[in-house]
Amino acid sequence: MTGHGLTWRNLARRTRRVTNFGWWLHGLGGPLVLVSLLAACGALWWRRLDPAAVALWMWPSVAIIVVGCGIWSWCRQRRHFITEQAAMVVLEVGYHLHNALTTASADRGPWPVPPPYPPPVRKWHWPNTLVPPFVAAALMVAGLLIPVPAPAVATMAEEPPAWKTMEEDLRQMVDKKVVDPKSAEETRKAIEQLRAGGKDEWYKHATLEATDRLQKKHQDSMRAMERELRRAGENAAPLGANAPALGPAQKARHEEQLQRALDGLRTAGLEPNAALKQQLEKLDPEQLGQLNRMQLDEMLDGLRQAAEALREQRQAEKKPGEGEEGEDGEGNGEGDGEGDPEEPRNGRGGPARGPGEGGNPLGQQGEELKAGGPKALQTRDFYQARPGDLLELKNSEHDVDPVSPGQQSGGGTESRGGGGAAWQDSLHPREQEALKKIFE
Amino acid sequence: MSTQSIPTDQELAAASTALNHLTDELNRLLFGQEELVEMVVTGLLAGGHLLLEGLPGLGKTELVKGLSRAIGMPSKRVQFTPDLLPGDITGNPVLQERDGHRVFVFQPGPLFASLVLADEINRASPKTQSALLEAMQEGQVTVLGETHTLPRPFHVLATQNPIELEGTYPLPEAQHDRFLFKLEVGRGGAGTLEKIVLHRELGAVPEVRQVLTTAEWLGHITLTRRLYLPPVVANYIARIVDATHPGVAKASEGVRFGASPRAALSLAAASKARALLHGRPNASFEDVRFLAPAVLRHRILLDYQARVEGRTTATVIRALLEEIPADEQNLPRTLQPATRP
Repeated sequence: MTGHGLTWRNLARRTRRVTNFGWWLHGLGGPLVLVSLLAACGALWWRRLDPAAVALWMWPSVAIIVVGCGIWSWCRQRRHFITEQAAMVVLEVGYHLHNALTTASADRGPWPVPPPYPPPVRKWHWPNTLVPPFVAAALMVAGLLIPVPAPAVATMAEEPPAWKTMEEDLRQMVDKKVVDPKSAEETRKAIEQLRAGGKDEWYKHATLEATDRLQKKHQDSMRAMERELRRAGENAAPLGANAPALGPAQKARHEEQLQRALDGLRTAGLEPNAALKQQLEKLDPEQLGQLNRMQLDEMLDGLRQAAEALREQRQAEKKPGEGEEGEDGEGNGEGDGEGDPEEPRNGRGGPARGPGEGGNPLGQQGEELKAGGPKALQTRDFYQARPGDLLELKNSEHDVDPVSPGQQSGGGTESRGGGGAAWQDSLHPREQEALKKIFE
Repeated sequence: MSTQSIPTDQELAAASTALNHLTDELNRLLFGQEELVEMVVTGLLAGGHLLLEGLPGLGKTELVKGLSRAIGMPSKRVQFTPDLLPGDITGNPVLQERDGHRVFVFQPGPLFASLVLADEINRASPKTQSALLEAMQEGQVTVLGETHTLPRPFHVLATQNPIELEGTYPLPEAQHDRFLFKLEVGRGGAGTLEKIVLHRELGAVPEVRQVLTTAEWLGHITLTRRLYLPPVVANYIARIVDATHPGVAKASEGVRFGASPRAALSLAAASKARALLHGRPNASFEDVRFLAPAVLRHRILLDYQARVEGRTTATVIRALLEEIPADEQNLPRTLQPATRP
């Protein structure tokens, strides 16, 4: 082959490479943009779930996408690829050579003299060549870099703590043989039902509302049971030991209180344990006088221990600084009998009793707030945390409106927006948003 | 593909020079008809028969006569009329007395010449046209069961008038297909007329020099067949001819019947002839594009609707050549053709 032949063949190879590469890029552009769009959406979604995994898989994923699209384009566009012979035809048409190259390559004629600086017969269409890869790259970068707020529901992978607390209460009370396991099962089933709603539902407004109600019912039951056990013990003691010394009216009052306590235990929501229930059945007001001192003390000890276990359980359940919630009428009445300034307890006595003390009418006093001590916040939700977040408790006064609303016509009362004011003023902004969605 | 030896550069150069002398001589005879002269020489070099269509007085007969003298080939002219019989062109057996016996002796007709001018061929009856058909295709005539071979080379140059069609017998498609080219002879402009008036006299026979011998002419015809037809050019010819059929290409809309395989062979042969005329060892895309109208225009039949719409075979062929690219012009979006150097 002459030097001219080599020159033309090199030109043909170059033309072939450019043309085939152009076809490959042509096939790559569309799928790359499409896949990049999907990948960007996927990355945004994935980053909401697991940002660490995205950082780990980012570059391998980009490489897989590019290589995959490249292979797909090669397979699809291969039918358009030209051979060196076809490239030679392109050259001879471009240079008006009357098919001299084809003829020469078949050894049927001489190679024509190549021009000193042969201009290319194909040139790149830069906008069509560069725009798709740039768009694809921009989409992928956007998918990886656009800030994504972690959703509240997604970050709260743990169930509401109240469920565990209630379950732990029930378990301990069953273990301490205070509560009947069957009566605890009802609350457990309710908790399981809420848990079965799925992680997405755990922190929805309805679930939290139901949890609150269940917790309140659970606490009420515990409180009622404790109260009735105490009342039973307090009224059983005089009837057993001092029965002969009591007057008929006092004895009747104790018997009535004891009967009320026993009735209250039946409707407390939580049934006493089988052993405790057996002891309670012995608390027949008419038969108490026949018990000897030791039997009575043993029974009263059982009641006291059960009540104490319930009290401790409630104490343990309370958060620091949280006072015990008062109950309607509890400890708010006048005590029976004369007041005893030395011993702050329900008074005893007859009609000439002094003003009694109903215990702590607002519930047990909570711990001191320790206001004024700033404390650094710790959170596992790093997306919402800001450096320097502090929690500080402060003592403040209630903002009481000193101006009386006065009498209003029609018995109406001034109201700040009804029930809406409650959640608008007291709820967290995110809870407000959730409620708005519910009412929309 | 030809298996004969490859033409040498000297052979090609010599043939090209001689053929250029021939075209120059004919161009001196016929003013302003350079393309027609080139097409006629190309067609004859490819061994084909030509159909010339044009108005009277444009030099068709003069061209044939001049060609006959320039190549040194015997020529005959037949004026076709409706009462012309096949025997009038093929020849007739004549009863003659030889050695005391009367025998039929074949008297050759005007077809027995290397160059036959069939003037106004569409005025002859179909029967006579068919007799000419056999002669053109087979190179022989059969009279009373006896076959007579025509001389080599044998070329028919037929003419027909596109007007005054009353009382004519238009050539059937099969007979059209026998002609390699259908050439439209047009008139020149004022400059051409001025040259004619200045250099010609009415009734005078212009002088034409013989530039080739019949043997040389036959040598050139043989050399033409040895030229190379690249496969890509053959593919281009095949694609063009195939695209003339209805439904194959967008440009063939309105075509009722497309060109035959003989059209593809004719185009290939003519391309090689033109290549020799230009001194090249191979046929090319340019040759095919240049010759396609002359080869295809009488082989495509348009439907009624297309003719009513004013479409002609020339417009169809032009559209076909634009639609069917010679090389791979299907480019991706990422590339564009550079400005042709």
